Amino acid sequence: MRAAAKTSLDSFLRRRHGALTEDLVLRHGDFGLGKVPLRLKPDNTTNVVCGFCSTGCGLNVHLRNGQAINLTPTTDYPVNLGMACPKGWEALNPLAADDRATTPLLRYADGNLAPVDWDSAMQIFSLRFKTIQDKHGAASVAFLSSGQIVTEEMAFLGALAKFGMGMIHCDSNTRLCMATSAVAYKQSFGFDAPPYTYQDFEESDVLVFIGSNLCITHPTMWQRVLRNQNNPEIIVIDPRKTETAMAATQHYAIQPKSDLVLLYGLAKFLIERDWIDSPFVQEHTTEFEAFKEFLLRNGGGEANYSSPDQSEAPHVGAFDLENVSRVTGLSVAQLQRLAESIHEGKRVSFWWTMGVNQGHEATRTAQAIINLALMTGNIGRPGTGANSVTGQCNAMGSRLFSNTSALLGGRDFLKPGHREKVAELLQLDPRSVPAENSWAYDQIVEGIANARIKGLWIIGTNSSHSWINQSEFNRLAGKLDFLVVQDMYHTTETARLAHLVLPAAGWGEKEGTFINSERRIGLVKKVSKAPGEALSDFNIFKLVAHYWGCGETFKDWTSPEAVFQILKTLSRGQPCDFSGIEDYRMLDEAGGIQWPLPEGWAGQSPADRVTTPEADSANGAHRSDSPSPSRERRLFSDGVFYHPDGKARFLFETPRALPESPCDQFPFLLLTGRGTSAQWHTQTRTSKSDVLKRLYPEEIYVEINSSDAAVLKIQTNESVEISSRRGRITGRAFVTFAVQPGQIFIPMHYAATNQLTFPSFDPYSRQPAYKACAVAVAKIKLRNRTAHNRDRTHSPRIQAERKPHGSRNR
Amino acid sequence: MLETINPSEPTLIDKLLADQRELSAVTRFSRQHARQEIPAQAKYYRDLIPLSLPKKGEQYAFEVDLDKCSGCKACVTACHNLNGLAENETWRSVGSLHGGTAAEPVHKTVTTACHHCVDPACLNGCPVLAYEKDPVTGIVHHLDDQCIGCSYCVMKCPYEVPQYHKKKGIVRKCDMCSSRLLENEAPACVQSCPNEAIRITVVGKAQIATETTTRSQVVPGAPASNYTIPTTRYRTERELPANTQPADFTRLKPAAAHPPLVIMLVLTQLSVGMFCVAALGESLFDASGIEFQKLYSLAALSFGGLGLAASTLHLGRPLQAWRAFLGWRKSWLSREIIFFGVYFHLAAAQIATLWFPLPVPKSLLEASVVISGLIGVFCSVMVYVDTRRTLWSLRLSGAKFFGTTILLGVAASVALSLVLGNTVLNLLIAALIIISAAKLGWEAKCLTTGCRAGHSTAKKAKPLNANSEVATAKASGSTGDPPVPGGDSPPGTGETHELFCTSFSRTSVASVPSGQWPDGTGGSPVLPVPTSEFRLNADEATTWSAQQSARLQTGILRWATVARFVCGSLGGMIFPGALLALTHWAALEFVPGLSVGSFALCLAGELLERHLFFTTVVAPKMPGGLFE
Repeated sequence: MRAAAKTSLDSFLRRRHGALTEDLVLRHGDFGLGKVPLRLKPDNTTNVVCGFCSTGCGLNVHLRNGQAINLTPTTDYPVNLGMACPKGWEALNPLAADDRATTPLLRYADGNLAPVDWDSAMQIFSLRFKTIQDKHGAASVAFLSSGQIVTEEMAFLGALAKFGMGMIHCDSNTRLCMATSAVAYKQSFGFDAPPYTYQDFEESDVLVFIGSNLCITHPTMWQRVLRNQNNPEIIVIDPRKTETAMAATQHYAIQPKSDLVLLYGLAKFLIERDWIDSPFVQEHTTEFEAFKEFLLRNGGGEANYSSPDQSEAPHVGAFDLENVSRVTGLSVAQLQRLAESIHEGKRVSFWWTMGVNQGHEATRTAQAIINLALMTGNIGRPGTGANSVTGQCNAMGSRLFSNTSALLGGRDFLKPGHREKVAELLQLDPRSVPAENSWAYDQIVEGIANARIKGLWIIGTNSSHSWINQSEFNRLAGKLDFLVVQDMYHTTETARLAHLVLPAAGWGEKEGTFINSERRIGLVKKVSKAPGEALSDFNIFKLVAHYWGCGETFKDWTSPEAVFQILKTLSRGQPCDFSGIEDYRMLDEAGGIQWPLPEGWAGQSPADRVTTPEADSANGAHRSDSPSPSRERRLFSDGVFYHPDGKARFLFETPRALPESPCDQFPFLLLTGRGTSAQWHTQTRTSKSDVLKRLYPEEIYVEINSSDAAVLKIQTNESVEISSRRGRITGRAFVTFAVQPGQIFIPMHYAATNQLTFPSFDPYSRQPAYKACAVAVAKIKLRNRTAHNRDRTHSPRIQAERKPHGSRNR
Repeated sequence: MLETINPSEPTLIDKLLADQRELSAVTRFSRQHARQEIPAQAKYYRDLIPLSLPKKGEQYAFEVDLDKCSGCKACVTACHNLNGLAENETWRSVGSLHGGTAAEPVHKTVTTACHHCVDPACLNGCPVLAYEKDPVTGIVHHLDDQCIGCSYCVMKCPYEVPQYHKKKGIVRKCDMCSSRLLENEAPACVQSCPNEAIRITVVGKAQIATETTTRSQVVPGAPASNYTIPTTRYRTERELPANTQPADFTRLKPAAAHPPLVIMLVLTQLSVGMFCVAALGESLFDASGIEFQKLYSLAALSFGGLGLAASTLHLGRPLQAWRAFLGWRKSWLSREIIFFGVYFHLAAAQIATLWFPLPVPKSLLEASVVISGLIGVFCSVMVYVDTRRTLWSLRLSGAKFFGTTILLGVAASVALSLVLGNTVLNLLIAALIIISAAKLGWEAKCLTTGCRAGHSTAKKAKPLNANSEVATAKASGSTGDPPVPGGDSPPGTGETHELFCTSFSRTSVASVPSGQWPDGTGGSPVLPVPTSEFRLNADEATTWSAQQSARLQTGILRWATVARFVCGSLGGMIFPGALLALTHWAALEFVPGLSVGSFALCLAGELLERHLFFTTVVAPKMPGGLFE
């Protein structure tokens, strides 16, 4: 009785139930989800491939009445095993941002952008671009596109622009991330074909990461590294002590851009020790002898690719360990240990990302990695490979089907046979397929400078922020007669410059396929309504075709899936042949499918023979009646490459000095790169999520080594000024040992970063070298800040107080 | 050229817009596991949660493997999505630790949520008993519907765990996904970590409590564990060097200003002060006549009432505040509310006697008003002392709060007397000058001590070379091949430098070697005990914190500081001095204005002092991220 009274008094005084408590109640979500918030209980779920990076994680979108309300990573997707990084978890949030473009916007005479209807927008689009073409030639209108849109849209855009609108010069922001890998593979293997599957992370016994901060850039790939049961050596080669370097068993903090010399030095050492897989080299490669000669003699005259700048021929013994040690900053003992680790591994895999791709001699560096894999026979077997970890979610789709630098399906514009084939498949007049190559991104920008490009159509990229030496780009944008920007947001730095803004639907608001880093074709679905009158890029291209008057040419390009069928036809007979994929439904049910998968693939493709027991059982768990492609498929298990002779090539070249080395006036080397896993590129999307914003520094910051900070009297938190020959910015200092003396690091996500970067390009891939330029660092005194800002003409005040590093040719 | 464009043909646009609005995923792609109840992810997290409930004396705890954590921060977003939190609400956060040497830099990501403490400060401080520690699992639950949104738990928790939800007017916090755990589902953070770095373990409460010494902290840079006895364990096999510090170690950011609390504290103290002065100077006021007494007492009561009313503006759900007495056993806030409630009613009763004589001895009533008021002020002091923040120590808070009480009491008495044309003892004006001078002087001294502490510690701090070398040597075992310092390294990399110019000297032992860790589990070493070596000792931590407060006060908040001293000295010294002079020369026409001005400036000065009391406090916290 008393107890009951006490209980009822307690329940009167302490409210355990009510609306506020209810708000957080969890209930079974069904669909294998476990518990979910009661408020957000789905009535259905569907898997959508993530639209940020190239990992290509499966996201299980929780739906109510067909509309996405929440998401969790998909457990049974072969890529991510139920994991995602913060961007994936927050993928739906940026769709609801209030700065979405909801109607076309036209810049009026008063200089302001104002809404117009689609009909007017499309008429103006056609009229202005046609007028420019009439006056300056068809090639005076160009486009810059994105690795963030689906393959079907890329192909439509590329075909429409080149076969319908008469454009010649088209490129994409994939130039900023993957051009190097594409060119390197194409030259070495005969086709742009990253050979690996993510299972290789788990099967290696030695993993070598070069210029890759996988922990932060591709967290769910790192998961696979940690699942490796072979107690692997994890080797990281990176100037910075990155998160990945921290997690590694061996870290080699080389001087920036000394990677090519390092890799050649390792190759030479391996050859000298005869740690070479000679049978493999003999049987499956060419040019090894020339490479050996190049390394052993001097590396000067024997190169089978001549350097565009012959001024810097290395002296005899350039790749001796002593010299390599001098250039890289590593000790001879460290170099030996590194070489031994590679030699001792039974399954060695090499992985590279932007640290390699964004360099002034990037293609040769990537190929130096490929050379190491080839000469040690580490390719085609589980846990091996020279593996480029791609950047954007659909950079791989772009490489095959953007119709920019390569003709559709990885073909060549310069080859008449290729042009005819494409014309035949698409029922085009063969003359409508350009017989010349497109300019690369930097050449298009240069084209604006010399008035050969007068109209530009930018789709889903933020050049005004991301382009190297952005101030120059922003200056040149003013010279364009007509700039159209097609984007999800009307607030991007680039959209603010546009004459016409076309509102685009984003990831999750449209259908199509992405191809991830391991060549897996995955499906993107429409799970959310686009705001206002925003249209998918696909539908915008349909409109453009109609208004341009070439709708008839693209009458079969009715839907993304119809285009997917066209792409299958285009891929047939190519190394990337995926004509064996029936339709989207098959892709969806298989959890994505890696190319190649030719027709009649069942049991035929060599890739399907290399199947891990786990992958098999995973397959078995899914389907019992019909055959299904293996969930983990790698290339070259038969040692046959895509060159006509079936052999891979050793490619090499004399290393060159940094285009802009530190000097007295600009004594520091600026490294740029990814800041955190919660940030993506120019942050047009990741800045729209409150949760993601809590996970990265909102303000631009500069990592500087403790010894330099001591000399400059800079402490963490203080404002510093960074200047290069191109710009001057301020940021907050973070004093650390993670960057080496003489170097500073600034994440690429902040709008100011690329005011500093130096526009140099790899000669083969034309990829910008974001990773190194000369800068000066100065402390800003709080009280002097105003005065300081007025003083725009003063010379950089910090003189070299220490011998600069990073210039290996001194 | 333009014939092909047909502006009168809107159907394509309409068709495409309609197509865009159709959601196709469900109809086109069916899901295979439509009604699957068992979570698909269970196969990956099965080993990361305990198989059985804790036994008596045990509880659940988070365990974080710092070596496995790669810094991806998925745990934060997963917690947010899987718990359906508000857009800007997070229950888990991520910071980082940095240190080491040029040759062997070290940084670690530290993910943190509620530590489900053995002795939870949030629970102890809650005035309405909105917290419960589950008797079986040890999980610290928050009863959302019980919460009145006073945010005192936010101040009490040294780990920034309770999150105030402005729209709902309550705080909410991590409950270790207790409803998931109940059905053998892993908490959101555990499920979502790609590297299996977070798991739930069962720990012995007594063992945790015994292991927690005055020097314990869960990771370097975390608050002292002996306050709440947190249960989370951070493991690492790699030794953290002696100079390891949080990325936000030098962060200077003003804390929340809490204007309602500023007003409440100052006005209640003014009110109590006035009654105190009246009691002390009884003879003075008795001579002033009943009308003066009525007015004076009413003013004192009104100030108190205003203060108490202001305090409700601080509450997210003021209508539920009547429950605030519930926590009196442990919560100083509860006690403060009770005593000020009593005080207010007694004061009202005392005033009533001025009109309607009551059969209670007057002196007894007066004494009880003063005593309850002073206890109320003492409770106010303890509310802040109990948060264990340096700036809110008993000495500092006590001196400020009681200083304000007496100062404003005197200032108000002087002003009221002079305005009403009563004669006032010069003694009272002199007292005001002396009290003001003393309080301002003392505050200035505290400030300069804080500033000086910075200089002296910076000077005292010895270079970390020696310690760092120890760390390097020890770390080499587990990190493969550390670059050789000097020798082949480029110039500069072999040298060691301090990461922070204001480092403190530490014990030279970098860490306890592996294998000698006190948990004896044979797993990777747990940090709590060994990292006590890294902790600033109590004096150093206090000095650092005082220094940070002084930096805020002389930096970002310098104008508030200047205003505080200007108001204080004008109102408490210059104006009263002038009053003395004027009364001396009998220039009485300026007296009322000057006396009101004096009081207003004193009040403004104290409000500013209290504003700085809140904004310059350095709250203890887990290691934060870069420039959050």
